Amino acid sequence: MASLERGEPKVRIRPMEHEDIDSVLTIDRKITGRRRAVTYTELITGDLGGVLALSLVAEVDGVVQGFVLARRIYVVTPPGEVGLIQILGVDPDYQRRGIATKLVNALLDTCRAKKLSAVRIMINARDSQLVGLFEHLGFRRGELVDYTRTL
Amino acid sequence: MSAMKKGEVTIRPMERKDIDAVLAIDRRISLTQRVLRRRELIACDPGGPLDLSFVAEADNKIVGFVLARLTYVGVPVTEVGVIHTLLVDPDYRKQGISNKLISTLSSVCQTEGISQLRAVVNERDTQLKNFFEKMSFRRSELINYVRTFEG
Repeated sequence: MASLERGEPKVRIRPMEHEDIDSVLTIDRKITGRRRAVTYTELITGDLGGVLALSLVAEVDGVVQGFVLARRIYVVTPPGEVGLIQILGVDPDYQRRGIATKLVNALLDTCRAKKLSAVRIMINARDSQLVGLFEHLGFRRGELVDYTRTL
Repeated sequence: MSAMKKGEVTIRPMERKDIDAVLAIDRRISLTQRVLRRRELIACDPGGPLDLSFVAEADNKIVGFVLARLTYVGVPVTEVGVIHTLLVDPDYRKQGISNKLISTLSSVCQTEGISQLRAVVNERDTQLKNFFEKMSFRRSELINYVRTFEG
């Protein structure tokens, strides 16, 4: 069903709703095993209510082809509320069309409107493609690092 | 008031009724910069299905806590325990309470089949980094990127 048209697809960004979860998971599964560099995978928290607060989906011709899962969190420095991007996913058939950029820009607008002080994401330092995307979107490297213990 | 430091330390799951005691510890640590807010603690849903928080009690009061939560990380989706905050009352430091909290959290996660524990740490906080390394955590390749809003 993928549109083969060239040029700008009609992309509509709107808030994620509960009904979108199946579409989101379908995209998530499609991304698995495919070019990990294009995917950002971080925390999907179990409480979808919290996640839905800032999450957005991208529709192309009325079908969800991308999403950004984000939530509000409190941080210590600087003290206040920020938006945390948990997962940014775009259907592999619809990548390289600026959908991720549109999603993140829309999220930035939402967070700015909600008076959050910043938007954060944890990404793999070696994923140069993803690092490049976020730097292009005005993100700068912060001071937080991740420590993991395998049990 | 810090004379009685010999009290035995017990670790137990955090409950909703502990919120005030937890906030009191937070306030003792700094009068100017709060790490936690009540709203955030309530959102953590202590004792709820995704909560993995524990408190340390000594001398019949709460003297430390770890706020942690079961989270899903993709792709493929796996269960991870994420440590949000670890605080110990200044009068009860250097008694291994942080160690006990993290050890208890680790063993509960293991029992529950949760395969990983994670914590986000400031790169410049050598003390905290050393603590987690001592607790068998290893630095991953994830780093944070931030987009701040002016004003």
